[in-house]
Amino acid sequence: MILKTDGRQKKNVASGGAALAFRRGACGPQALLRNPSSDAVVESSADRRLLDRLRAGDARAFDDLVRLHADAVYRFAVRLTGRPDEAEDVAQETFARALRHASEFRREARFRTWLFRIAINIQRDTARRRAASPFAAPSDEAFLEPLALPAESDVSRRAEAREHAALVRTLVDRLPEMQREALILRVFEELPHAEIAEILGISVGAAKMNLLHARKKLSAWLGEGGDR
Amino acid sequence: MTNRGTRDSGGRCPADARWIDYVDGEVREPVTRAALRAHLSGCDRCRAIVTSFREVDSTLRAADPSGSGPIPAESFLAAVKRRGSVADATLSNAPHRRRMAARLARYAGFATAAAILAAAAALLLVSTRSSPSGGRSPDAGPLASGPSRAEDTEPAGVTAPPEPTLDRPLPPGIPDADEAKAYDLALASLRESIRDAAAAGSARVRRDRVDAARAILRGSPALAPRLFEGLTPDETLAALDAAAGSRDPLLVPDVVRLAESMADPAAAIETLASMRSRRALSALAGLALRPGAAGRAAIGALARSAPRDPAASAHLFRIARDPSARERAAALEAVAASSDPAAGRLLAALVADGPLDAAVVAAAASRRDSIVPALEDSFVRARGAERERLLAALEALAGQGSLAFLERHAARGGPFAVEAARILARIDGDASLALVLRIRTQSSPEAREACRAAIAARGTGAIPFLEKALDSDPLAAGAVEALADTGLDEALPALSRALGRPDLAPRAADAIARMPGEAAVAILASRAADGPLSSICRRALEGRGDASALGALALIRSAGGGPAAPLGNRLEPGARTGRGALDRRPHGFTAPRPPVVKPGAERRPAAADRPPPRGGG
Repeated sequence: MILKTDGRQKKNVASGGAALAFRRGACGPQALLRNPSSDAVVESSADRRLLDRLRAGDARAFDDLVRLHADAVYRFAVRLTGRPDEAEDVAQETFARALRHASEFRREARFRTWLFRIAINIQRDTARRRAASPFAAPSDEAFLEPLALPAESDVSRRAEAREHAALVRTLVDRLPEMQREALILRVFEELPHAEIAEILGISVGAAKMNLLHARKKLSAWLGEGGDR
Repeated sequence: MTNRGTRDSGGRCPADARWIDYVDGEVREPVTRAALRAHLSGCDRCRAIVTSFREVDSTLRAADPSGSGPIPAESFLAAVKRRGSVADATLSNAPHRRRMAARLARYAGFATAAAILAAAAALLLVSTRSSPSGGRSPDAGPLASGPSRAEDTEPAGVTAPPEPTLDRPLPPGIPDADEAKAYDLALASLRESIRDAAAAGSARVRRDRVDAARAILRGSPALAPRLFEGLTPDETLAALDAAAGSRDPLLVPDVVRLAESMADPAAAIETLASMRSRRALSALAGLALRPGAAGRAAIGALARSAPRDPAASAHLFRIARDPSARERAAALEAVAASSDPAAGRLLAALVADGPLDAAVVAAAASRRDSIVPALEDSFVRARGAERERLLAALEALAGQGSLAFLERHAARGGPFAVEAARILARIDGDASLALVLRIRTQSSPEAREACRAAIAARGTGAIPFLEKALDSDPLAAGAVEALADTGLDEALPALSRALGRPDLAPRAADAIARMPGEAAVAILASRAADGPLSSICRRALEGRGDASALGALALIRSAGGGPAAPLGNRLEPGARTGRGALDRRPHGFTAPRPPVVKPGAERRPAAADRPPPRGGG
């Protein structure tokens, strides 16, 4: 049985006390670690080695950890935010926070899972700040293929593909925060439900229900051409 | 409705959440998976659910926004280190001296900046001493001001910065008071440089001060969020100069705020445009969506960056397409006016499938042939007022001399041919008329009709060119037709001249027959009595078929001018009015009302209707 994480624990992660979120004994990753058939939260040998070096005071170990996970965290942030420039900020801040609080990481979950959780909290904070700010930068879809200008012969096809991608992004953005995050973690990162639950600080059942509702809504919206 | 029945039994449907497990590979037991598979094979509803879930996943993956390639690891790492506190994290259990070493390393930039600042101060001191007036403005800042500092007992270049004070919470990343002291020291130096730059009496001194401030900022990125705090307008401009060229994303929000709040946002926009970071560019694009001076200035900055920065091009393109962009016309004009080869493709794509006003602006602002096919698409899409606006824009384009694409499309036929003919016919100048004549003889019936109406609309203005065109072999035939299209008596002398040319005579006779009024009948009648053109002119009169033409024919026959063509029942009153050649008259012409002719009167036309006697008799 996995208990729900309360809001206080989530706030701790956002403010740097990330390790607290993973100190949940039998209902947390520790339980999964006891199950040898689950490789979801067993850290990779590279992570283990680098974390050991970092713990020993080797500053270059963190550089290697960044190099190892930068791409994944950045891509995850792009999927999360839909804006490459903002994603870069989120990814940088994720590692900066991870660096500041590396000593608090108890290695009860994968390092990447921990990074994803930090990234999600940063993104939530950013989104809230942006919602409160009068200045909102535009969506940055153009950055995704700034050089791939359409040839005259396939203008309409390329434009259609771009519009479709933008539509999908718009629909994903309409989902409630938790459902959107669960869906991204599942579809793009292909994480198991238990790990999604860990990252989002919710129970596995709740993660599953979030995935269910997200998929149902998206299916309905896509069927209607995004009119809803 | 969710059926929460006996799960996986094959009888009642499993709960929908169970299918989430199934789709996501969370059902690990082979038996359970097999049971679910078996249920799926026999249950349309559940199969539809699973299919819809999988479709959602595949749609999302197809629209994955993260396909922009790997992130540059080293620059990313450097940025992370700037943000984070490497020493504190990695050396948390290390001796104090190692933390101090890291701290010193972090503020090494400040030391460099301070050295630059000192050198600049020394330079200023030398230059001011060599100047009779001292070279200082009366309100110069503390560093630059006054003999009191220049004549201090302290040697130049070692002036101590003001004692730092902690008047606010520690900035992010500054963990203790020691570092805060160093931070405040750097901040004070930065502000002094900014003040000096704002008060500088010469461009060179200002540049030196701005460079010093820039060096301090580079050395201590944590100062960025406070760069613009508490500055006068002049100091703000100097600070903007100092921020120019920076890659620091932390400066961006303040510069954006200034661009939005300053009466003249140009300086802030230029600073933003010079900042080499994606965030700055994105912020610039955000400003470009705003109405007013800031929006226009941002669009201008994007347009200037576009030739060397594909991302700026992409932003400009997106703004030009965005109906919510208040200054979109400016973006469109910038794209249209750009000499960047990519702009041509952007413009064509915009015109082809973007908002229709894009086509209007593009047509008005660009002479690129590449937009022509797209313009045709726009014409097909455009309706009503939009179509008229597009037409007006094309007229303006053609008025600038860019006619070639119109000719190509007019000659090719299709919907655009008619529009092209209309546009060309409305444009003054012989070149456009020559094109109209070619279209008039070569193109589709619709285009010919458009040309005919267009020439008629031009009236007497077209006649001099058409007279000249009679002497040009390729244009002569079209000119004859066009002269008739005018429907004006002023065209008759030219047509009469064309009648004298054997190659043009049949066409000219028919053209004259189409002209309204009795003068045309008189010309034909004068040549119909005898001579080489008699048969042609008689046929033309018969073709015209109205009372006056038939009366003239009857008169010629009665005067012994040779056998007239059998008129038969066509002499019946009213049988020919409104038919025959008159039907081919240009649209919009008012056909002359046929005179009321009583039976029997055809053979004796009124004196006024008689043709002039031949041979001048």
